[in-house]
Amino acid sequence: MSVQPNIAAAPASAVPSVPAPPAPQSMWKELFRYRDNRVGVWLIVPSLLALIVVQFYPIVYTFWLILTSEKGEFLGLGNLTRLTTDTIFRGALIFSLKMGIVVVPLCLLVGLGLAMVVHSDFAKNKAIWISILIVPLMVSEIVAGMMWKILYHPTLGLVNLPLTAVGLEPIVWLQKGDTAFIALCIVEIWRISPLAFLLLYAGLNQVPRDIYEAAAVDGATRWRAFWDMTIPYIRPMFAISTILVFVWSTRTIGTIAATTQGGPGRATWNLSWFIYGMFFQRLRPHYASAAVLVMLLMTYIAGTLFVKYLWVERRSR
Amino acid sequence: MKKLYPLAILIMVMAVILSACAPPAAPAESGEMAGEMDEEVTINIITAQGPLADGLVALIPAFEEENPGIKIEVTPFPWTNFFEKVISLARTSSGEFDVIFADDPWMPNIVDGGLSVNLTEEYGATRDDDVPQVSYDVFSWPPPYGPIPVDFQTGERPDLHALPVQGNVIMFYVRQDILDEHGLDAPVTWDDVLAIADAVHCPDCDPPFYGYNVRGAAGSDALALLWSMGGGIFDDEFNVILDDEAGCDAMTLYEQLSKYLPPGGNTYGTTEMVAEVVSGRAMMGIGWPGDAYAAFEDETDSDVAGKMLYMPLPAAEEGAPHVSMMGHWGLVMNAHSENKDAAWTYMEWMHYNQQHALAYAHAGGIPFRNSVFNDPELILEKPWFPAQYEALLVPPKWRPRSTQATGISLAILGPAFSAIGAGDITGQEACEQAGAEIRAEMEGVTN
Repeated sequence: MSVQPNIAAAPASAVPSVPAPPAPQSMWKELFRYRDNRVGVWLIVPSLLALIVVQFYPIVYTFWLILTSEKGEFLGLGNLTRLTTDTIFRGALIFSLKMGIVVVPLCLLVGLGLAMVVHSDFAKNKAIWISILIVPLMVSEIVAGMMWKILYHPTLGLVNLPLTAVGLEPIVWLQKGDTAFIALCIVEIWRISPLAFLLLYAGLNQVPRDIYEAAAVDGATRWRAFWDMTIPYIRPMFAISTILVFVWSTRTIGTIAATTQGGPGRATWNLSWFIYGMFFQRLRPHYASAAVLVMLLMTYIAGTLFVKYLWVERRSR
Repeated sequence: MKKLYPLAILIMVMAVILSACAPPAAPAESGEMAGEMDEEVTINIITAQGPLADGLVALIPAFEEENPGIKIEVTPFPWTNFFEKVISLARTSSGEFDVIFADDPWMPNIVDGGLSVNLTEEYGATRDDDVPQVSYDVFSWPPPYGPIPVDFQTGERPDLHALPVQGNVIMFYVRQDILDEHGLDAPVTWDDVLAIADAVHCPDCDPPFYGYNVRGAAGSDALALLWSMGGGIFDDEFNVILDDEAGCDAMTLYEQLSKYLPPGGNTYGTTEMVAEVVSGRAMMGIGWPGDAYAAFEDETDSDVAGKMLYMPLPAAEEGAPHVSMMGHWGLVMNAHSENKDAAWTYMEWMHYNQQHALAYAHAGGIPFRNSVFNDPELILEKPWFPAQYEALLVPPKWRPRSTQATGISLAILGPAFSAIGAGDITGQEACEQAGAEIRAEMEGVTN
């Protein structure tokens, strides 16, 4: 154990004159202090160029698309204002938000529940449990959609089996807009909750065990220990899970393509499906890009809110 | 020397990156073989997955044997992704694929996107007498007849921009054995279809039996129903006519037919639609032969092999033409290809030789030649070919020659039919709504 000398207590005259440490510089200044770091700077240049080409060019190009028409005329905010009166776009936006609102809490709940079970002492062979539980993550969206479409089949699918076993009428899940929405939410929860499980399990592993022992000595109940110790510890992971689950569930397209194809009618069109259709079927890339911007903004606002309320603010308490 | 050090590192890094971007080198060969390899050309063909690709792949060995020095690579894509790929190829002026085995509705996008070569002008492509003329018309540009958008009304001679290799036409299938059982005649009009569906529909039977069957997801095949009822999307002046009397009648007919679908039939794709038929639970419907009919007649998996009747689509009324919908596939030479002459050799080989066309049909493809459609041996294998040939001679309609046609079909007409099938909207409401949407879609569109 090292002991810090009490410099403040020593008389000023007794302190030998030491050169002042260099003032902290910004990352960019330090990085590009070319004279001291020539090789480093040159090594970064190719990656930087690649980054500009891969990341910034598409963003700039998208903005150019948004501001112009298919015929190359400058429209200003015309494409964005057109979106405000487009009822099909509005329906797709609402569907995406509804999907996020339903899927995010349920995924987190399922993910947390699974993480706690696997993290507990009851679960032996944790590696096997984890590898089984994350299988849905390894399945592509399209395959998951196709599999669930068969499961939802009114007469052949397994989902209706419990209903018919107790004498109830089978539900034709994908026939009507409201049941199709529920069906899609279930697919997304099945597909995405393993992601929340993995992240929250990693978070649970970071919680030191001895604080629970100390809490038990102080007479804390299990619920109290969970609420006041576990949750604060895993809160950053909770925020990350929330953002990722929100993004995954609101942008899904493969599941819709494989199950409902946006139907019945346009009842299951989400933003991704709207953008895809506008871009590749109706060949309106400029208008579709305006919808892309709205989707990005939606994700950005949601992400900011999640970080603000689930991570930074609570952590500072 | 010290100054050169960072520069040398940069050059090395850039060289590594550039070498990664370069195309892979051909494997080294020795002696005489290496000399031949230098001259070898590989023709890359992009096509849709399924029988289309199977047919092309089956004929590759024969072509390569007859044409040493030309290798064929076939890249199959799922249908929807394929259209995206065609659009991307056009946007990027890419020569990634030398030949595009394209669906006929994409011709406006292909020609407008500068992807095709005028085969009549550049290679002297001609019309073969053994091929129905409509199969050439559909691949001619500008379109020889039908509604033509302003940009395509050039007054030029319609020249071939693709060579047909698959003469697909959508058809109607019905269970002949059930018709016989009930003493019913095969349907001639859509009213007959409704009457038959009503007579045989028995959802509470064990096993259940359904009067009508459809690929209902996203309203597939809606356009075929529309045309067979005498409706359409555009008139000859490109005015929207979807919401006229015939169009609304067609959508009301779909509303009536939906009552006879299996539960959830409105959400079916090809797989579920075929499953209902091969398990003996569905009476009739519209279907693409390439997708479905081979499965119907497959004795190992189908309960209905040999029990089906295939025919052109029913008509709106007695005496009216049995108008069907074309779904031809043709070989388009990519204008950006660097191997055009070799590509032409391949296209000529596939299209102009009767024996190759016959071999293609035996390998799972749909014929495009009169002689192949009527080949007795082939008819034994594919009993729907005579009816399909009959439908081809009516002649069938092609999808409107507009770059927006695919979008209208998939994003407006499809959802309208799907909403009708779900019972969310009446046929009349759907046709009025879809008509208004198509008008808005076509506003200012000249191609």
